[in-house]
Amino acid sequence: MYGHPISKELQKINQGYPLTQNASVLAGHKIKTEIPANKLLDTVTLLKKHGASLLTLVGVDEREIKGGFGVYLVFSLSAAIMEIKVSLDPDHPSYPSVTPVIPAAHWLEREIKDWLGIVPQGHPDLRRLAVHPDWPSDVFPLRKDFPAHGEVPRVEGEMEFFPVKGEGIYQVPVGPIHAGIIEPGHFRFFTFGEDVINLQAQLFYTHRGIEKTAEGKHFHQAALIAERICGACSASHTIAYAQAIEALAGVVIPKRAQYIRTILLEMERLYNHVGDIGNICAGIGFNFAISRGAILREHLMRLNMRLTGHRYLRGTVIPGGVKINLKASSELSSIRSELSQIEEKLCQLTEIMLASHSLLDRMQTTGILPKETANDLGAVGTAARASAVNRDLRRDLPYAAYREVKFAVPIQQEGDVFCRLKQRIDEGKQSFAILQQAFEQLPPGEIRVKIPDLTPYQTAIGYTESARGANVHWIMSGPNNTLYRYMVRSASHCNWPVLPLCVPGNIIPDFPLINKSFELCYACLDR
Amino acid sequence: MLNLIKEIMKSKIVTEDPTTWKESLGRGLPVLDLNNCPAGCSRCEQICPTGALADKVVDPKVCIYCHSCRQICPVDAIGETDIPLMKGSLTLEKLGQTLREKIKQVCQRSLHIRYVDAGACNACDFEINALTNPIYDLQQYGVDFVASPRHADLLVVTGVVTRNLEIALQKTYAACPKPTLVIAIGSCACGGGIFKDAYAAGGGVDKHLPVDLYVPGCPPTPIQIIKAILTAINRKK
Repeated sequence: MYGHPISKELQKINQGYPLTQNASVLAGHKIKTEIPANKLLDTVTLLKKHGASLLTLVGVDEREIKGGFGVYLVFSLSAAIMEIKVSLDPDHPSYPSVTPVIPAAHWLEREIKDWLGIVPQGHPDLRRLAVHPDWPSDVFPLRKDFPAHGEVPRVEGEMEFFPVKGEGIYQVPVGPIHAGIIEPGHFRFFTFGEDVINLQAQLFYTHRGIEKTAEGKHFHQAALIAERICGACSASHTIAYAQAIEALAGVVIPKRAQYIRTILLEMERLYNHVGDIGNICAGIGFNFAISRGAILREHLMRLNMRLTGHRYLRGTVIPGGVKINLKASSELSSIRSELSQIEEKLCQLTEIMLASHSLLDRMQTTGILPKETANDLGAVGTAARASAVNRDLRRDLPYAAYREVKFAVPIQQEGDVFCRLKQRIDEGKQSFAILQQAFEQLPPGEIRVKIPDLTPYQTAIGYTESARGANVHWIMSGPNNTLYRYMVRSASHCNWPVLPLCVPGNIIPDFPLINKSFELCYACLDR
Repeated sequence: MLNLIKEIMKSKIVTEDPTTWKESLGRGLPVLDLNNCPAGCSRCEQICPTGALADKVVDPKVCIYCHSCRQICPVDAIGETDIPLMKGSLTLEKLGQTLREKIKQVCQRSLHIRYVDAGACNACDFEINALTNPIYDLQQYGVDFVASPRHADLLVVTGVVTRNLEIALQKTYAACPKPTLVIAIGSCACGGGIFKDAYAAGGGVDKHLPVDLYVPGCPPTPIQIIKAILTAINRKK
């Protein structure tokens, strides 16, 4: 009955707790189980042994429907997605923290403590993460009894940083408002001379309350919210969200829509990667590459506009398919030939960049992310692949039309700034190839199907591999086709905890360079 | 190195003139054609995610330009027009006067901008960033971004003004020499956008600072932002 090899062992640990297994419209099997909290650590240890990686961890206030809180952990296994639920006490919700076994969960668990008051017992660091010091300690915005539009008074409080002490250690506070045109966040450098000894960050400045805003909204309206989580990851977020709704409804979208989604995702990856290839050079003042990269990025943005009517690809995706039926073939062939020209120009640019000794000198051995750290902390995307972590959801758990196009997943070995630059160059080449194939093979037909009424209080996930890595959207449906809980774990959420670990040992002037080589979104993390 | 020099020598001027701009400006402001609008139908008003559409008119500051209304209209009675720049709360005439006075005080020939992300999704930020690329080349007008609010004549603000950035925004404004022009860029900054009622979001810039000019759009394109900045300093041709 249970097809996946792990099912039997799981049953052994959790005797008496049934396991359900369905075919999922997204990825092979979907295994779901509810286990008692005291078996959680054994279960995740087993999953870790089988090479499972944590996709997301969500807390839900289910007091009004199930009489308590729920924590859902979602893992990806080979050809399967596994969701484990633990039910918690309504008055004193707590459970054994999984962070000691799976360090990748550490920010997620701090978040559910901040937002829901669920305590992960045994977590090594329960300082506040997602709420700022001026937030009252007994107010939990994602609980159902917290009003979505409530005003919350400010209280006195100080940012908590782990102390770094010693003779000659200085603190350098930076932000939240930065000198350049970038998003807000506060960094605290602990330095000895120019050398950074330790770096800590206070983020979540752009926290808008996206997840709470989506609660109670019709699933079509919530798609507009998913689009606006992040500008530069707009398509990948909306598609991940739409896939979650489709998985929940058990709907398979038409072939043409799958191809169009693939085109949108790769266009998004390209404009991000091309922009970043240029922009990383802003960290070393290599102006030629900065302006060439910016010109190519602008060309790609204009192609987006011609393809979809929006530079950031908004208003193109809807649960059940896509909203835009790409233009006539003459327009498409001109777009394809422009893409080839951009590819050629990018190639010329990167050849010059890679031949520049001053560039190599600044980028090589700077900001190294070791493979073990990337693996343990669950780094994703270009940052992980630049550190030899061979993981890409497009290949590992294919969605949209990724089963039907040929592409390679390049990886690098050293994990320094240069590898992250090279990774983007290599991935960009693959994206051009995927786009040409997708345009070539674009099938005719319908572009959307109707989503039937959603069964209330069911859960599902959707995911995409964005330019920055895995975006995982978890939803629980509510009554009347609304969302009961919506949780977004973006690629930046996975990679932000990793970045500060790559900085010690480097000098302060290298921080902008290291930061740009990760190119993490603040908006994606803060929500 | 030689190749680098060769490539630079080959470069041509790529900078474009915003006054002869031909490319699409993207999704415009929805406009209802009242002659075709069926009586008793209010589907567009019901689907509007921000309540921007009321009494058959769209408020440009509240609209998030998702065009859900246009898609749901059963008779195709909703067209679009260029997104207007909106002046601050003063009456137009009075504003023209105050703006001119401010500009006389503030700018001679050049203008320095300090940019603040007050809780944006980063689309507006990337578009503002694009202004400095060789294609738009904002510096050609004597306008540039500065690192410190102390050097700024104009504050460009994006985002809903989140609870966590409200104080930082006010401190930045306080650090600017007065008078300071303020431009709100993007739907979130203009009217709070889709998050306007959220517990962590502050409903737009004018709830916190006096705004001189609104540039709606989600996000407004670089060309709209350039036009707005040139309008703000009275330099639009």
